[in-house]
Amino acid sequence: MAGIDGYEATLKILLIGNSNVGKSSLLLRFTDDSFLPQDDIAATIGVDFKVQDMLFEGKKYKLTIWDTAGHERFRTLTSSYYRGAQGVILVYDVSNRETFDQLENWFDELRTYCRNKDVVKMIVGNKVDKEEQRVISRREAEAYARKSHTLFLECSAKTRYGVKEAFEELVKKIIETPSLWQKRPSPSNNIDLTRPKDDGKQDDGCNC
Amino acid sequence: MEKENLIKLPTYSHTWTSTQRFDLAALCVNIVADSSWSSNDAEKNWKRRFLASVFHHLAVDKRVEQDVLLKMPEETGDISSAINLLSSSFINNDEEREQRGIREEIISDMVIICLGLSPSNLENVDKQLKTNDNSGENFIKEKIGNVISNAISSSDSSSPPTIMPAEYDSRARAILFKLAFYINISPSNIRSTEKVLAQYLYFMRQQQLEAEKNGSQDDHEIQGLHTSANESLNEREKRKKKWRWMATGVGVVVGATAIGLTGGLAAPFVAGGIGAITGASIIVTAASNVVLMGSLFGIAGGGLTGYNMHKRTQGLKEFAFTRVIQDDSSPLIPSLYVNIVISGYLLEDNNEVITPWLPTFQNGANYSDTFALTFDTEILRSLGRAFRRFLAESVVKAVANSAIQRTVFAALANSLLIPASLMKAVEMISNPWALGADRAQKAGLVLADVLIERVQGKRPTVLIGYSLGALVIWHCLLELAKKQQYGLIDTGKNKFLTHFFLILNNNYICINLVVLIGAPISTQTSKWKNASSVVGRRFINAYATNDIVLGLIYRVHSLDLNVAGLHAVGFEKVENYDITKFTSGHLGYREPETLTKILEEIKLD
Repeated sequence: MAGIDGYEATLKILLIGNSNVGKSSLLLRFTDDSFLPQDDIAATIGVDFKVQDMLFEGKKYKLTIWDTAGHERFRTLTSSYYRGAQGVILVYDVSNRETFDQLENWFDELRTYCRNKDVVKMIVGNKVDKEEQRVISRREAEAYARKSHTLFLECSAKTRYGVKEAFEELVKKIIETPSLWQKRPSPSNNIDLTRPKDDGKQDDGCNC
Repeated sequence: MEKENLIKLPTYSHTWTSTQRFDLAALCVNIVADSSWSSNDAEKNWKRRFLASVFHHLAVDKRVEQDVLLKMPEETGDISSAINLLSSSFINNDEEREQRGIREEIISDMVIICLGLSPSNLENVDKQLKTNDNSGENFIKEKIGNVISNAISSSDSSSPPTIMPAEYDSRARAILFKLAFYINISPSNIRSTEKVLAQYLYFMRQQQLEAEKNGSQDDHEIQGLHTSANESLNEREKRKKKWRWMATGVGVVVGATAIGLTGGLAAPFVAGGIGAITGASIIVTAASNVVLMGSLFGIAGGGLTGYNMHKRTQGLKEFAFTRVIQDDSSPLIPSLYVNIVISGYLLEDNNEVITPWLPTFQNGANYSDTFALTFDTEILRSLGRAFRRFLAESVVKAVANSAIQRTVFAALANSLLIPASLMKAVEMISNPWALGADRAQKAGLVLADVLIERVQGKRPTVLIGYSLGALVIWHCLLELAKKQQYGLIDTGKNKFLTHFFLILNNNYICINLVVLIGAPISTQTSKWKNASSVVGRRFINAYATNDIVLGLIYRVHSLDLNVAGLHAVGFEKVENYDITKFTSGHLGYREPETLTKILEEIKLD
C-alpha cells in the first residue's frame, strides 16, 4: 500500500549508546556520506533527526532516524524516543570496553520504555578502523548479540565500512516483520502535527 | 509512564553552596540594574518580578537578604566592577576545580527561571491554585486566564509576584546572554539548554496526548482537570472562530485566514488544528501545576481575532507567513524563540521570500522556528523587474564600476544635481520603489499588530530583513514603541484579565534581536532611539558602501545620502557592520551565499 507520496512506509529508527561511541557520525556517514573529526562535532543535544530514503526490493521507504544524546545531561523524556520505533541500533565503540559493557543498561532502558516485543534490535560495533586499539573482539560481541537475540554488525563511520550494510540489514528485518509497520491507518508513523487537520485528531500510529 | 519526572525539570541550584547562590543573585541584580530599554514603570515592574523569581529559585528567601541585594547597585555605584568581581568568583572557583561545571549549571538553571518554569515558581502558582480551588473543577472551568491572574493577585499580598510561567521575555533572554558573557560561558550553552527544554516540553505534551488517549489509566482527579480545562478552552476557541480576519469583511484579502496565519506563526505542534491546539494550551501535571504551554508557543493568546484593517493599512493586499523549512517528515519540535525573516524585493520569482534565508535556517540540528513574511508580492516583483531594467542601463553599469563609485557618491553627496542620464535611469525604479515603500510601511504596522497579539507565542522574537524588508521591520518597531509608550497594548478580550495584565504590564512586546540589511532608512533621525527601545538584546545595522542602487534611489527620494544601508548609524545602541566585502550591492542580498555570509559575520547567536 504505497502512499500518495510514493513511500511504502515510513520507518522510525533509533540510535542509542554511550556518549562518544559515534552515533551521530554513523548517521552522518549514512545520510550525507561524510565524516567529521572528533574536534569538529559537538555532543548531540536532546535528539536530532535525519530523514533518508531507502530503496528496498524496488519499493521506497522513508527512514526517520532519531539520533539521541548519549550524555545523560542532554537527554530529555527518554520514553518519548522509543514510542513508535520499529528499529533500534545500539552502538558501542570497539576500542572502549565500558561502552560495550554498558550495552546491558541500554537494553534495560529499551525493555522499560519500548513495550513492542517485535521491535528490531541491532548491535553495532563502531570504530573498527582503530584495529590496534580494539579491545572487544568480533567473537565476543557476536556471542553477546546471539544471546540477546539481536542483529550484529561491525562498522566504521570513518572509513564507511559496514555503515550502509547496517542500516540496510535493519530495514530488511523490519520489513520482514510486517506486524511492525503494516495494519496502520496511515503509512506515516510520525507524530505529524504540522499538517492542519480539520478534525484535529492525532494519530501517531503507534504500536509501541 | 514517568509521571514523577514530568514536573521535574533538571535544576542544579540545590547543589550549590549558599554563598554561591547569594553571589549569583547579586550578579543578577547588578546585571538587571545595568540593563535598560525603555526605562519606564512597566520595565521597573518587570525587573522586580524577574528578580523575585531569581531569588525564589536561589532560595534567597529572607526579606533582609533581598533588600541588601536590591540596594547593592545603588550603594556600590560602580556596577561594572561589581559585576566583574562577582563573576570572577565563579570563574576562579571553577578553574580551581578544572571544570566549567557550575557555570554551565548556572546557565541551565537561569534559562528555566527565565521561562518561569523553575520548580519554586511553579509551586508558588500551584499553592495559589490550591488555596483558590474551593470549587474544584469549576474553578478550572473559569477562563484559563483567571487561574493565573488569581494566582498572581493573591501572591501579591504574601510574597512579591514572580514572572509568569511559560513566558519567555526577550529582556530575560537578553539578561541571560549578558550573564553568559560575564561568567565566560559560550552563548551556545544557552542554545543547548533552550533546545533541551523545548524538546522536553514537546515530549511532555506528546506523553500527555498519549495519556489522554488511554484516559482510564490516568489519575482520576487529573483527568477531571484535563477534561474541564479542555472544555473551557474549546469553548473559547469556538467563540473565537466567529472572529476571523476574513469575517471582518473589510474586503481586504490578507493572504491568509486567521487559522492560516496562526498556523503559520505558532509552533508546529500547536498548529495541528484547533482540536489539538486547545489541548496544547494547558499542562496539568501530577502535582496539578498549570503551565500555559500554548501561551509560550503561540495560539493561546488568541491569534488575530477580528482583525480590522484600519485605514492606515488599507491597500495592503497580501500578508502571510510561510515556514522556511517545509520538510515535515521528522517531528518539528518548536524552539523557544522565533525568527521572522523578510525579503525586500523579488528579482526572479516569489520563492525569493524564502530561498535567500534557507542556508542559514535549515540546519536541522540547530532547528529554530523560522518564518518568512510575504507582503504584496506583485509589487515586490515589479520592483525587481525595475531593478533589472535599471541595472541594464549603460549609465548605471558605468556607475556600478567600483573604480568610479567613490567619485559618483561624492558627486551625489555634494551637489543637488544628479547627472540627467542617471536621473532618467533612476526614474525607472522611482515609482515601483515608492509603491513598495508604502506597502512595506503598512506591512510593518500589521506585523506590529500580529506581534502584539502574540500570534508567535510568548517567545523572544528575532526580526531580520533586507531592503524593503528592513523597512517593514523599522515601521513595526516604531509602531510597537509608540503603542508601548502610550500603554495601548492590552489583550482587550476580557476586562478582568486586562485589568490584571495592565497592573503587571505583562504584555510588553520586545524584540530580542533585529537585523536590518541595506535599510532605506535615514541615519539622521531621532527615531532610532524610539525603535531601539523595543529591542531587547541586539540591534544591528548592516551596510554596504557599494550599494549604488540604494544610494541613487534614496538620493532622489530624500535628497540626502544619509541612509542606514550605506553608512553606520551613530546611535550607541545600534551595532554597525560593514558588509561591503560580501555583496555586489543592493541586489546581492537576495543571493543565498551572500546573505549567509552576512548573517555569519553578524553572528546571530
